[in-house]
Amino acid sequence: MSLLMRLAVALASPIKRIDRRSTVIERLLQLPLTPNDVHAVRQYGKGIRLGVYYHWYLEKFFVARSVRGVHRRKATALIDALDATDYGDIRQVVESATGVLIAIPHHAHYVLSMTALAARLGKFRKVHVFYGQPATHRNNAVFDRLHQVLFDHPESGVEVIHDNRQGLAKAIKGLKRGEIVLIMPDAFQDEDATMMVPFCGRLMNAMLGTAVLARKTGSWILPVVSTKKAGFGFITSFGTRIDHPIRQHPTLTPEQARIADYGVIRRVFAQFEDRMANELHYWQNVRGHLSFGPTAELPALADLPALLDAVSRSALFNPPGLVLDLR
Amino acid sequence: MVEIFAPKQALEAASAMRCGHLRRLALVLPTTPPAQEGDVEGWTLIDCNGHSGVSKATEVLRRVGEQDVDWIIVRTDQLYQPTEATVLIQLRDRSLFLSPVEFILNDKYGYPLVIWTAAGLVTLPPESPFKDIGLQLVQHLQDCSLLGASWLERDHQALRTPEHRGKARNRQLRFLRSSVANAYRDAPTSPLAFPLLDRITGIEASQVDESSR
Repeated sequence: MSLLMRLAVALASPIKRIDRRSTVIERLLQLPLTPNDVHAVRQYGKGIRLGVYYHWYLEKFFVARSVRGVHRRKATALIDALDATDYGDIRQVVESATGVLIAIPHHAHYVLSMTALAARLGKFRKVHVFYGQPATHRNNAVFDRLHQVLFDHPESGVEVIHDNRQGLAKAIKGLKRGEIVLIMPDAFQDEDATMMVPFCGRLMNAMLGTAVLARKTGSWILPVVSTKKAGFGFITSFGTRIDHPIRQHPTLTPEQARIADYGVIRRVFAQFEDRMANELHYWQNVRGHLSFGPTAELPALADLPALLDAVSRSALFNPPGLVLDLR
Repeated sequence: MVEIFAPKQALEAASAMRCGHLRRLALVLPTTPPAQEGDVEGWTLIDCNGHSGVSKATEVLRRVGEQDVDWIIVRTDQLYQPTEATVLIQLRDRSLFLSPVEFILNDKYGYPLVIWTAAGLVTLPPESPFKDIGLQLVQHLQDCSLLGASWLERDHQALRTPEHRGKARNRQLRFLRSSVANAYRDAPTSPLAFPLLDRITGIEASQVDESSR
């Protein structure tokens, strides 16, 4: 199967040269792009041809088709064949005296990276794979299918938990016991619950949940990025351990804790950016991230008082000049 | 299929009024492609952008105060930003913000309002009740959507809803909190962050929830 996939993807390589929109390809790949999307894909960095983006979706399509309906042995063999990761760096996770949060963005073959990582680590200590439930995140159904095939037996050491109250409670309990949680910090359900972090030339909304879990459980965070192997396959790239500053400041007020959490999440995304900046088109959120507004920065400390003055006086925060009840 | 009274016809009819008994008039027209609009020469245009030959509402109102503007076209559909649309209209099923400029022209400066609707022109004499002005402007915007793709401001109308402004305020507050957190991220225990966060809380507390009025 892997050989067939490689062949199919290689044969489709000429698509990469296309730089015009093709509604036929988009229909086949179920990838309906808007003009904003096309602009976003083309503008990043030095810009990529639209065909490169199409080809990437074709590769994802082949991988998703291949893992559908296969049994455990075949799925494991397929993932192993595509995996070119050096797992030397997971030693620190295996030997950790505390729980570990492995933070991974929706980049490249992140499903395969997470699955391969969970399978390896699950042999040593319990692993919880934490993600949005397919009922609310349609794309995550592939996780459920794959995990059911691979990990639906007690010896796997891997358990799927969803982003609801029960899942959160399990994650906290597990981390306190020194277990491992795989989590994706670039996803959120409620925009109002997010904070803005600079990321790849834009501001992005990010939940602080990964940092909060680390703070509440005394765990540390290992940022990890799934990258695409030249040709076909994936390499899981390991970042540098991040410890929550709560260790230095054990008694923080809620506001101070939030600032500390924010600092941790910024460090997580800074590590993601190091790995992703030159291949952002492999990121699932790239179109949304780049299609709105110009480059934005957060203001410098010295500018904050004037900014607060301006916002408090702005029309957006003024009451209406007149209210007419026409009910 | 019901025939729509074209904005071009509206402009022609209003232009004919200039040759008749009216000394001054404010015409409310939708924003459509120039080819569909007709000849606007001799009219002072109000829109949000201050294009060449077009003036912002505040500028026109100043000139009206000096009595040198008689024939005004108001693009009500372009006046949706919080700085421009400050009159909250509460309807049975929704609320929206309108510009006060039509109310001021009619009430303070005595301009008859001639408002385009799909069924024809509606004329409101000077000093009409605010409720009548509000209802006709709402009808005008509702009928604009019947113009389909010819209505160039169609995609911006969500910006005049309280829900949109509520989201924009929340985004602004998140931006401010993120800015403070970003500035102190390496010194989370610094007491200097507190006054800034308190100010943001104060701004948040002062905001009005228009949708629940």
